[in-house]
Formats: sequence, structure tokens, C-alpha cells
Amino acid sequence: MRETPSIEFALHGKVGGVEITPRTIDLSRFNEFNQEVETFIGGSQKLKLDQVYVEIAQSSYVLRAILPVVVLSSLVPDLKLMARQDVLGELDIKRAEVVQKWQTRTKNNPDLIYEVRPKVEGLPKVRVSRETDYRAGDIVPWVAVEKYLFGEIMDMGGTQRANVHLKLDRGGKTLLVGASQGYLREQVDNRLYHKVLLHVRGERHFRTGDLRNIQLISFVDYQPAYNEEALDRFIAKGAAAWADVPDAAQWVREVRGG
Amino acid sequence: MPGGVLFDTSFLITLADPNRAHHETARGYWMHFLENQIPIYLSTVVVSEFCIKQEIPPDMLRCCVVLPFNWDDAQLAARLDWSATRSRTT
Repeated sequence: MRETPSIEFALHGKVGGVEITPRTIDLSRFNEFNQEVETFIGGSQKLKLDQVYVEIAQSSYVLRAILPVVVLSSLVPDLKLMARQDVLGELDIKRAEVVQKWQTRTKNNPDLIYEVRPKVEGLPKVRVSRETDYRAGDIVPWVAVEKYLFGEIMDMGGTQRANVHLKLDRGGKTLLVGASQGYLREQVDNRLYHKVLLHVRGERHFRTGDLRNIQLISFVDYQPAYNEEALDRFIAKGAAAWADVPDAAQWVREVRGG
Repeated sequence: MPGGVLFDTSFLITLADPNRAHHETARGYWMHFLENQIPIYLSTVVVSEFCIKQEIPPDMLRCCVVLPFNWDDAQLAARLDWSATRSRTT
């Protein structure tokens, strides 16, 4: 019978001169490492991990995660990529964040070593230590975008760095949108706890769609109300503008190149 | 409440031109969406086509949420089956 695939996540090192083991690991490091292992396995897809089972092995602090095939298959491409160290820009964003944290910690505490040891044929063991240099490399997975975000402003301002807390209408997630204090000061209308449309620029992750570094360009004049006079003015100009277009659908096809 | 509607260029032309066969229907839809707080989305691609002939004035634009064409939209568009569109239009 084939063995169920598993991956060992090991934390080696000393803290305060004491070797990290299941008996000596402190609560905050225990929680931190377990949380990071969960994030690494689940990735940005937030895979359900209720079928992943964990054992704690002796020696260093080692979590052995026994993985269903579907979870393992999501990890395999990233584990293969991690044979290189200039790879963080290509990894799943959540996994890259975990590896980045491990790399930073090992630089600050040279005794620490993190290992990911797949017990699966063909997958390399990954080691993050003070000797390694896991980094983003040349491939930057974030692309500049502009967006319009609709939601309710829950907070606005700031003494050092001003921002707008926007609770999105769709999904209810609250985003932090950077803004200049000068622009916020100029606002005549009270926008706090009002629905607004924001024109923003930011960076979108090419794979996950996550947004970061969101900056306010402007509040948009968004007032969706039926205005008969405005519509009539629009139509009055439209009659002349479209007089030489007998078939709108055909005209659109021609504009698009036939 | 519906999540919103996305106008295409032909709809906007029908709304703008009173001589179109379905102009009154388009006008009715415009009023219905606004009076029922149904968000109207306007893609920048549609704007680029419509504005060849007619500008969209601010008092109409303020009723719409503009949808820019970004990297992720371009990727999705690339995955569409364009051959189906071509066979319909030829």
C-alpha cells in the first residue's frame, strides 16, 4: 500500500541558549510556527485543512503534516520552484510571505533554521537559514492597476500617514486606502459613514488578484439618481450624433475591426 | 437587489438616439436601474467606442461606476473563445 504523502516542517535552533524541542518551545513561537505552517500549506487558496493531520516528532520542533492528495498537488509546484532562492515573486503569495518571514528571522537569529521536508519522491528538501537568501528576484508579481471601489467610509485621516478605511459594498472587506492629508482637508462634504466611489491606483497580484499599496486618486462624483432633464439633454445631442448610423450593432462590429 | 448591470455600446447608442426602435425601452431601463438603486457599470472599452460619436456628459457619468480595463481583465479577455464571435459576425 502506498504511504500517505507527508511533509515535515522543522524548526531548529536555540533561543536563549536552549535548544528548541517540543518540550522547550515557548508558547508564542509554538503558535507562530504552527500558524505559518498552516498558512504555507493552505496558501492563498485557503485550502480546507480538516483532512490534514499533524504529528509532533521528537528532536527539534517538527510538525509532520499528513496531506490529502488535493492539498499536496497545490504545494508541489511551489516546492519545486523553491529549489531556487530568487523565487519569492513566483510563489503563491501566502507561501512567499511565510518564507520571507523565516528568512528574515534567520538573519536576526543565526541559530534558527527552518526546513520543509517533503516525504514525497522527486520533491526537494527546502532549508531556510542564515546561509540562504530567499528573495523576490527579477520577477515582480504585482502589476499597477487603477480601480473604482464602492463602499462606506468607516474612518478617515491620520496624524502621520493619512488613509481612508473603506468597507467594500461587495464582500464587506475593509480596505486601507492611502491618501494625502491635503486632499482630505480640502473635502467640503462629510464623507464619514457615507457610501462613496473611490478612484484608486494600486498593485494587483497577477495570480491571486490581491490588492496592495492602494492610494486614493480622488473621490468620484457618483450620485446615481434619475434626472429627466440630464437624460433629455443627452438624447438631444444623441439624435444628431448617431443620425448616420442606421445599424448600431453593425457599426460596433465595424469599429472592432469587422 | 441585483449586483448591477453592465451596459454595452449598442445599449448606450439606443438610449442616446430617440430614432432607434427600442429607444423607449432603453430609457425605461435607465430609469428603472436608477430608481431601484441597481448599480450601472460602464466599461472604459464601451466608453472608447461610444465617444467616437458622442461624449458622455458629467451628469450622466455620475450615475455610473466606471470599470477600467486592467491587467486581470486583459488576461480574462485573452481566455475568451474569440472564434465563436468571429463565426457569428461573418
